[in-house]
Amino acid sequence: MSQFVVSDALLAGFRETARGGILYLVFLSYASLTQRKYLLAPFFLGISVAFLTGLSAPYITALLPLKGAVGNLISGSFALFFIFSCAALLQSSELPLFEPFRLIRISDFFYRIATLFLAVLFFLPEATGTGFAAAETALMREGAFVVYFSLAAGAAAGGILIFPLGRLTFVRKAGEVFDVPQILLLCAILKLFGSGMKGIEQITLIPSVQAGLMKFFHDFVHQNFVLFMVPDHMLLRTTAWNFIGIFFGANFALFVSLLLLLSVPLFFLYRKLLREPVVPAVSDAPATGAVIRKLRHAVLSERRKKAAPVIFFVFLIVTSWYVRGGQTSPRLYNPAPKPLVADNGLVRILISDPTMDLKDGRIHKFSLAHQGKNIRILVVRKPDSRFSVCLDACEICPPEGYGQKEDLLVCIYCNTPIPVRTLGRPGGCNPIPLEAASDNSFISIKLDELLKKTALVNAGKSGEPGR
Amino acid sequence: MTGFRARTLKLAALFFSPVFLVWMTVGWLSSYVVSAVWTNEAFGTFVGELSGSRALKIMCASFLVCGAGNLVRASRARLKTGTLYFLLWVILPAGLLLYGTAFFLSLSSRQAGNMILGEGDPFKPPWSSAEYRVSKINLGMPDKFLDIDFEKGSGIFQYEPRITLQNGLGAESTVGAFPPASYDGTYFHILNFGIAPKVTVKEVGVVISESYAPLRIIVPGTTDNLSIPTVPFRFQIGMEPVRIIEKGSVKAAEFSLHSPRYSIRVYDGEKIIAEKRGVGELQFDRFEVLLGEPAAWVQVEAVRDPWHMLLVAGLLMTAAGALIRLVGGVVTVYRKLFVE
Repeated sequence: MSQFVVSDALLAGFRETARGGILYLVFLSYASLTQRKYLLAPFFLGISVAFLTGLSAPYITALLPLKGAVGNLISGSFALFFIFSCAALLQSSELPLFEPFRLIRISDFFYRIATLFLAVLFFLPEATGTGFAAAETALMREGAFVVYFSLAAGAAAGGILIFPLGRLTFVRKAGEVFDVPQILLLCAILKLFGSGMKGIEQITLIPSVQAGLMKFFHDFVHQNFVLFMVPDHMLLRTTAWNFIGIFFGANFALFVSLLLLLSVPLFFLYRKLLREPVVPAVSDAPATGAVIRKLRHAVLSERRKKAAPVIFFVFLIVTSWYVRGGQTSPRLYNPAPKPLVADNGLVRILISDPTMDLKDGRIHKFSLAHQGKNIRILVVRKPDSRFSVCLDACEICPPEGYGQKEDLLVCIYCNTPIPVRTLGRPGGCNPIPLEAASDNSFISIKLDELLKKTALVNAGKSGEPGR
Repeated sequence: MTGFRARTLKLAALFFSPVFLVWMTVGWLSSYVVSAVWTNEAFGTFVGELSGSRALKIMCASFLVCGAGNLVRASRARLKTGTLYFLLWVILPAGLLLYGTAFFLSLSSRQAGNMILGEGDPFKPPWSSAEYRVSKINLGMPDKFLDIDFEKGSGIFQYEPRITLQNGLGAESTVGAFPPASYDGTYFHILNFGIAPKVTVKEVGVVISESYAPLRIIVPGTTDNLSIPTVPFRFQIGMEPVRIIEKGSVKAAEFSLHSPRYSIRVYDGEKIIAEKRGVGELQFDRFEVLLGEPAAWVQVEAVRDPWHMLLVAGLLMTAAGALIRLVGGVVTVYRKLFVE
């Protein structure tokens, strides 16, 4: 049994327990301090439902469709927790968001159901991802026992490390600083840092969230270009496009996406830390200066306590955002093309040889010299395991090609990011897709197809919307 | 009646409350996130559906009306703090509201089309009764240019072409690439430009086709493809330098726009059956092809967008308001932290 299987399963088990353990300790403290220990039962029920469903999903036919949706469920559940936390933070910022519902009498039963729902939402996507990844690894390596034993050992290690922390005083008093908004934000943060789109392989969700936000920003800017009738970059000189390209650049998008993500937590902090507190009246009699100062101090102290975890989370997000951004922005992976030849009207690319493996998810480039022209081809394996074969050029830009940055291909000329999973769509700044056939050993492209599609380069002719 | 009025007022108060506005924002965000996670093209889907979906239009309009109501209510409260303070405060939310409204109206009602035109060509946008004619095209490029100078243009555009449009009454106006020019409620601007050589094809000595073919071949080294319906072959055409200049170690190719030299290849399927560089006729099979003096062409986009100026005003107000808020915010935080 390889080391790979053992370490990956260990890590997955550890990750799940660590995430769950941190949340449990905070929730336990909150429930104890607010006399809501009755919520622990639905919390544990939610965990049980999530893990039983998630780990058994690969073996239950009715649940098999979940496999294709795991990535979306993980991203979607993070987004939901983040939106929930934003709504709760706004409510806590003296913006009475739930005021219209004040007349509805909310019973303990509602809180139990809400806790159960949130626990399932928190644990189910990752548990399902881990379940499918573990089942696949066990199948491939023909060693289910070792995989599941490693998973359990990782979970036990996580438990041994996390649960004793519950004895520490500051952990037991965590409920003093964690209210509902902070707990929901903690759930979102734990998902952001402790989840991955690829089950065991990927630890953090940050690249996916960054890519999603950057995509939104790019599309929004591009739509504005259309509405303001800014001509496309066929007509613009390179320096002008470089200026406009700032809006499409990684750093700008990184900053704006961070601002979008942090706008509500920062608004909460502004309200809590910088707004003058309204001192509650204690009785009908006018309060003396000392009483007012005492009350003011109490209100400010409470506000600062509740703001502390939010400050910590904001700091955590900003740091990791820029650490990742700083790491990734200079690294535009642009491999040198490997030469190809056409044989009997067919161009064939070996899927794997000692120097490369097309299945590694990275961009691979090839070049074909044909009648004095150099045609570049790029091949990437998409997250759905299918190969995307395209020309290393689009219909708009001068054909300088694409580099790869994380899960994005980036147009070297205009900086437009293209998510790898969307490759194959024609038009705009997308690489021009090629029809290709593949078997276990080769990807084959007809020379006619290559020449036909080469005519579209920098011509803007397909007429289909893209970008 | 009184009960009905009270209920209506209560509903209106709820609809225009900041809480309802925030709930609508949360709703938009949630639906966008779900769409983004599952379709990957959430913004494109939204823009595409906005022009067709009545439900989406109603939701957008409700959101904007709710925003406007909130702005009016908040403005009344802010006015009490002083006119100058109010004016500085109101620019950002009013700009955002104006921009959002214009964005929505523009996407819902915009009509656009583009066409490739040569000198003398008439055209009529489908939504307009006015007819126009391109009386003059100026490509904005010198007749002779070097390949090494191609990236060294001046101004915002590498080479900004301009056309002179003539309306039915004979009045002339100029259109460039950006900003768009507005005539009779329609905006015009140039998307692309190039030269169109006169292509004459003879079959057994008889002219079977003679027309200008708009090609994208101005950028040195590029070629474009041409198909002629009555000819069963494909042509690949490019521009060749008219002379090579060598000064010391620098070597440059000079191209001419008015008297260009062409390269032409004739394909039967993917097989080259004939090719020629320079002037003169190319003979192949039973055909002869001649590339003559070129005409200029431009791709003009015509847009009918009654809300365009509103969009521009909204964007400018938003930018100005954001700047004012930024400065004001920094000053406030500084005062809170260091002065008070």
